[in-house]
Amino acid sequence: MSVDVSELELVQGCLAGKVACQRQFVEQFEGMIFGLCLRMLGRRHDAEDVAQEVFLRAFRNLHRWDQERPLRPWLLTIAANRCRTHLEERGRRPTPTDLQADWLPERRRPGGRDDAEEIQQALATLRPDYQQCFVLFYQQELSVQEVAEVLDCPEGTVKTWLHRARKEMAEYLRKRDIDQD
Amino acid sequence: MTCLDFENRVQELLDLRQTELPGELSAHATHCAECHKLWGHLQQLQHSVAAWQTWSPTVTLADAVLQRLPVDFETTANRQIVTTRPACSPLSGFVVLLASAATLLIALGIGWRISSNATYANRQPSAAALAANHLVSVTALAPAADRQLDVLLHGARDAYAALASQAWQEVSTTNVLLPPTDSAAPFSGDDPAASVPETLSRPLAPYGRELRDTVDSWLLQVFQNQDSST
Ligand SMILES: [Zn+2]
Repeated sequence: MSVDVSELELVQGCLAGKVACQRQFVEQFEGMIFGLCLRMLGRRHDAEDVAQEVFLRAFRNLHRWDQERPLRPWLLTIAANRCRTHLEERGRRPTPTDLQADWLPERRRPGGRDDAEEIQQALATLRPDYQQCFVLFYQQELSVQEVAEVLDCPEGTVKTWLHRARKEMAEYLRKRDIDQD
Repeated sequence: MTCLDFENRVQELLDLRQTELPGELSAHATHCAECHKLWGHLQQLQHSVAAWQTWSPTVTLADAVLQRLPVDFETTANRQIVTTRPACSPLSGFVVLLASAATLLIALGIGWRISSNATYANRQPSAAALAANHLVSVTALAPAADRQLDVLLHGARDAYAALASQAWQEVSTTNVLLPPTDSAAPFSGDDPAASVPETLSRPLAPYGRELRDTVDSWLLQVFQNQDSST
């Protein structure tokens, strides 16, 4: 993958301290970063805090960015690591409050179940490693190989984590079905 | 095909974002209730994910980030200039030299201790001689140890002097700017200071401060020379 020339210019502008470039940088990637944080952390407030941290960290380390590689996976790496750290700092199993995604729209089906909310709840019960893989694969739509690059681990490990994530989540949905029946 | 085979192959298909079961797997699912159920749940998961992945509320982070940025970024910008200047290379080389010097000191310390132990062992007198020479031995040994330390200390000073001189020559040769003195101060702030341990190994311990002062003054001299030459 080659680097978009405009990305390079944008980064150079940021490093030169041009505020317009810094603003454009944030605006260009905020949707992607925030989307990932939101799904990994579940709560909007936490996601906003961590997303801001991700950008500050990115700016601080922008001079280390390898210009031969695209910017997106580099930023996703920072974001995934920050989210994971945040989750580990919570240091406990999610409470019912953690499972309530406060950012999902009210669009319950007549039966009273919402697919997106269920996925979010199931996701919150997973290990941070599994969450990272799941979100990068499904929400960011990266391939297994790309997830491995972002997380800097072997593809085999990503596959294992992804398989376990799927299985545990499918099991979570199954139990919910039984409880609701 | 076992149920485990089925599960593994289904997972691999999902890794490739395929949602249809090929014939062989489909046939297994038709006849195996467990795998049929598993496939059903994984399909349900895929279906639910579709709703989950697309929705995202809008967010505006730029103002908040830019507000927090100046303090953060100012230091980064400085660091960026430092890291991209060729000055970094001789300076980091110098830090390596400094670390080598610390290692040399420790090695010398160990060497001294070994040779010192050997001296004590060689001097183990017989019981009779011990009594006779007790006073002489004690008074003779202490100055001998001090002398050894003095020699060692001078050796270490010379070693440091050589290293500092070598580093200065390297810096001079490349004729580049050094970072501001506050970031280059050898024994303040960052890791370079840690290269010379606060507490030296036992024989050198009483001279730790002196050694550090010696190194410090040599470094200061190097930086001053550098300042005046640029
Ligand atoms: Zn089966």
